[in-house]
Amino acid sequence: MATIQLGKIKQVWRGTYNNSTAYTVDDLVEYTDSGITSTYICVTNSTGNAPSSSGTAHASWNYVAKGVTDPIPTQSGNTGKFLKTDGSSLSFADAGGWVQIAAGNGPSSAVTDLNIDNIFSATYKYYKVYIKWTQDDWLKCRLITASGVVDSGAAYTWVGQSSSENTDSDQRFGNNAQTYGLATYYNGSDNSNSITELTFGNPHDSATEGVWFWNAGYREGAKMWHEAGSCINTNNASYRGINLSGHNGDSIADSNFNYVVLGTGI
Amino acid sequence: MKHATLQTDGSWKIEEFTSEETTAYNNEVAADKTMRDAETAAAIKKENDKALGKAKLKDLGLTDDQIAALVG
Repeated sequence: MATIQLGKIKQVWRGTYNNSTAYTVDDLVEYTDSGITSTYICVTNSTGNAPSSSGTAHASWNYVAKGVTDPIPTQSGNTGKFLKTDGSSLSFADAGGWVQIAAGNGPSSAVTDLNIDNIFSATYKYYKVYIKWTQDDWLKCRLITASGVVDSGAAYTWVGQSSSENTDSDQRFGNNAQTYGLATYYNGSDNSNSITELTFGNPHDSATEGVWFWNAGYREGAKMWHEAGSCINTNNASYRGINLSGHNGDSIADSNFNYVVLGTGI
Repeated sequence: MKHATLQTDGSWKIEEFTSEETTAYNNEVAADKTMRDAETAAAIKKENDKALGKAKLKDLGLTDDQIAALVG
């Protein structure tokens, strides 16, 4: 009786390619060539012939599903970063221009002053500090040197202007050779909500003076106030943080104070 | 009085003022009060002078709108 050779009636999965295995037609294997893993089908009985080399299939094999190079760059060392494209390739980078360096509430136990320390470094040139404080008074701001000392020398000069709604009581203020700078100069009687934005220019640079400006908004009775000012510490020093001090013993706590620090480079 | 220092893990380290820090703080508050009181007094005087000036302008025959255009 005649014999009819049908061959395999289905493809056979042989797992990862083994160089010493004898493969026959319709065997399927997985093989990694130049870092790219693909699936191959044997088209000619073969032993010792890798399915492909440098991306080109051997004559004994055809591609079934050809892998591609992982388009995602290595994630190692890129915690907190985002994928960014230049139009043709991907890389990990900081999202947007501003990076959050620190954020949080005030301490659970009320204090009179606090150090938001270790926020300035050589990594960024400009910093913004946002402060929301619900109190009835003003905040002094001093710089913390690179060695961790609050600079209380008489080297701060500041100037500002405030304007209010429902009154003509626009005010200008300024001083020099002071032992503190300012974050706000509010001196109202209400424990109203206030917001302050401080912008620092390259505070970590030891070759330049520590300079910042602030914008603040707050309510006092029926009046809404806006305040803007600038401050400089005339010492050329490297600074790593800020000290905020509530005037006249006012409390700073988690229930009335929170902050965000952002940084950006050039 | 106490002060707090931000730690690298985001927590706050709370410490009591030393007696020297307390003295320095209180001295500064007293000096600030003198400074702010002087500013407040100057602002009040300025407002009063403005009101008196406006009254005199009105006595000279200027309308309220004309006065506002001149001095706000």
